[in-house]
Amino acid sequence: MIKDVLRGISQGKTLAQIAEELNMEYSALMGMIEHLIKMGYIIAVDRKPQEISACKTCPLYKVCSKNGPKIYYLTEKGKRAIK
Amino acid sequence: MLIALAGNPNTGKSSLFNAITGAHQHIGNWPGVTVEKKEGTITFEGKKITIVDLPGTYSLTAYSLEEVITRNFILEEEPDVVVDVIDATNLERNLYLLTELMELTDRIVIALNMFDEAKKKYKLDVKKMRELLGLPVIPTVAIKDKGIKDLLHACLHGYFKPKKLSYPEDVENRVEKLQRMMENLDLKNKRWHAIKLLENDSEVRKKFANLGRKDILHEAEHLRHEIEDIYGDDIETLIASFRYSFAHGLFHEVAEPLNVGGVTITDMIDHVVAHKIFGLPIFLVVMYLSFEFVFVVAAPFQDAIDLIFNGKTLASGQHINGLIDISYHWMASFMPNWASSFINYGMLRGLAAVLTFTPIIMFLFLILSILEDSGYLARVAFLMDKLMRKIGLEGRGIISLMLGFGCNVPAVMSTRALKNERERELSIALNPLIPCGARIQVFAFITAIFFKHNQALVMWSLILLSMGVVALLGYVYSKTIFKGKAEPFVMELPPYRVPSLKGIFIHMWEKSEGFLRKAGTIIVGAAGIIWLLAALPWGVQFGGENSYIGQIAHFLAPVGAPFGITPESIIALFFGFFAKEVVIDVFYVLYGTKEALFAAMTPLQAYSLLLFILFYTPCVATLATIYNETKSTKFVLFVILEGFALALFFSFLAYTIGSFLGVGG
Repeated sequence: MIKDVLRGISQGKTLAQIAEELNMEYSALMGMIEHLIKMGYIIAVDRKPQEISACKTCPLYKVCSKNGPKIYYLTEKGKRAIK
Repeated sequence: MLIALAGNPNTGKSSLFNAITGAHQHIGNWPGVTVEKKEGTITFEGKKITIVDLPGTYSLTAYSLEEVITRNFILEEEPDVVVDVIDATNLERNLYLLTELMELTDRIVIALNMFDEAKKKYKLDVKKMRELLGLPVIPTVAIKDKGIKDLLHACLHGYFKPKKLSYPEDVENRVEKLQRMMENLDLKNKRWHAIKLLENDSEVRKKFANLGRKDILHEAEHLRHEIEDIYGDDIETLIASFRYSFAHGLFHEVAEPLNVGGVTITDMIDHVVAHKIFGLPIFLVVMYLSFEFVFVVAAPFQDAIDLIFNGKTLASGQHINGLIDISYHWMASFMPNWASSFINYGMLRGLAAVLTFTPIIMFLFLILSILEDSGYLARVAFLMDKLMRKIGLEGRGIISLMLGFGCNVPAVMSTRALKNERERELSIALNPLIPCGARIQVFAFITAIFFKHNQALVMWSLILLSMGVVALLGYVYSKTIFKGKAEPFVMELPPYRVPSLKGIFIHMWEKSEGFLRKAGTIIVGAAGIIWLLAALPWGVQFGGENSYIGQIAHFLAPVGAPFGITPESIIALFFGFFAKEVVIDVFYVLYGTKEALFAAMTPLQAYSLLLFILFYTPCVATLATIYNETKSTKFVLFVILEGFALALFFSFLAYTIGSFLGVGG
């Protein structure tokens, strides 16, 4: 199952698509994603705090959404796992 | 008797702890750490019971302090019963921890918490779950005190005959081999230790190193490699996969989702709006309709504000003075003419320019807030990713490009998150070609004046063109100067929801306030400078050919001629280098009214100007940020030249073709 999830990510599928294809609950997939992050297969990218503080200098700071979608990448370890 | 409560975070574990212990609880810390430890004592059926609330965890690896505390407590303190508090509404997710707990202890009672909510989501077969696991399973609703007595009763008298989670024979044989090597050691739960050694668990390895049993560690390493060779996988993935498969299988045995096929409203909407073929055309239609809505709804408000400040010229030729003219004449009665002119035709007119366009900005942000709060904008990022992947640009760079629609400064900064240098440079090079919020405001200003019947279409064409150019250049760059392989990624899309009216208005106000605040400082200030250039040297006609601004315009006139760009527009473009919104002010101060501006340019010239603004050099703040991020003057020059080349190309193309065809002249 883990490899199927990693493959789904490498193919650019959405988490909803991966969950549907694996007949898995979305929350269960999110749990697995968190686990895979801890195991070092995936990294999650959020807007980092230093970027947010840099954003504050922008005159359009308030215009810009600070709640963009969260995205996940395969690490080198993750890529090796599905080779 | 000792009972430990384990479970994922947010399963209602604390509520259950409170429901069981009431006021009889003590809060402290786990030894040596600052993780909170809650303990309570009760008497149930004549038996004194101590309840310990363990930290919430999703698994029992050695990656976090909470996990280590939980597993060490169960292993070393050997509670009589471990209650696994499961959020029954997210059953599958919670079952993974159960698989790990079952390796630690046989005496587990499962509390299916939030059972009332879960019944709305699945048909749960509790009896079957008990049979399959060989453990007591008790439905509870902790916040309503339901099922608490049954749970405690099961802890005291439950039937514990758990089914073991077994791994394939190749793994089990090696687990047993390690267990045999531990026979003489004073260790609790040798099987668990053997599995953890195979998993290469750092804490357990440390434990064996401290025991001086390097032989076991070497053997574990050897066996681990054997298993990895057999399965072609690293052991951690392998063992976690077995546990996930067990949890997945168990879930499907005991839970039947009530919505047919598990399809949610979000899924249904996504099948249409995030469709691989229809998604993009739907987005283009949404964008077009949004612009149409903004212009149609904002128009009466704009006209009213314009009338208040600038008055109106009637069909008979009679001019009704607006606030600016009235104020000018009134002030001129007690102060020098130049001072009254500066205040009214410089500062007040700058303010009027801002206020006239506030309705458009507010409605634009209203629409954006609705699209964002509903969850649609996240789908747009997803759709763009799909498109960009096809042309060789992908990864986090897409997110930074999307941020560019707000402001290019944080968008360029956000490329720091890119670990791939090639993607980072590619993203920075393309970012200034995305029209930021300020450019979009200028587009709205010009289209509202020159394209009364096709405002939305013109705006739409500009955004579409910028996206097309970014896609095309992205493709060319990724095959030439920024060659390399991009990082694949997956995006978490939030569920759709109906945005609350209050939320939308707060959101809209926050965004509009940013525009108004800026208007109160930079824009009005710039209006003052432009007024001075138009009024000096003293005595010349305001904005006439002998004024400084007139002289600059005269000097620049040949430059813009091939593109249909007027000298005044070139001055506006020059000031736009400092902040794009200032372009609006320059036009207002130079021309006075919308009608005068309309008379100074043909729609074709206006469109050519829009194309120029779309691409020409980003503002000074963006360039400074690009320099900060790249520390390369060459890169900054590249971005400036790229912008000017595209601006000149498209303006020239549009103006030449338009003139040739006699369109918009």
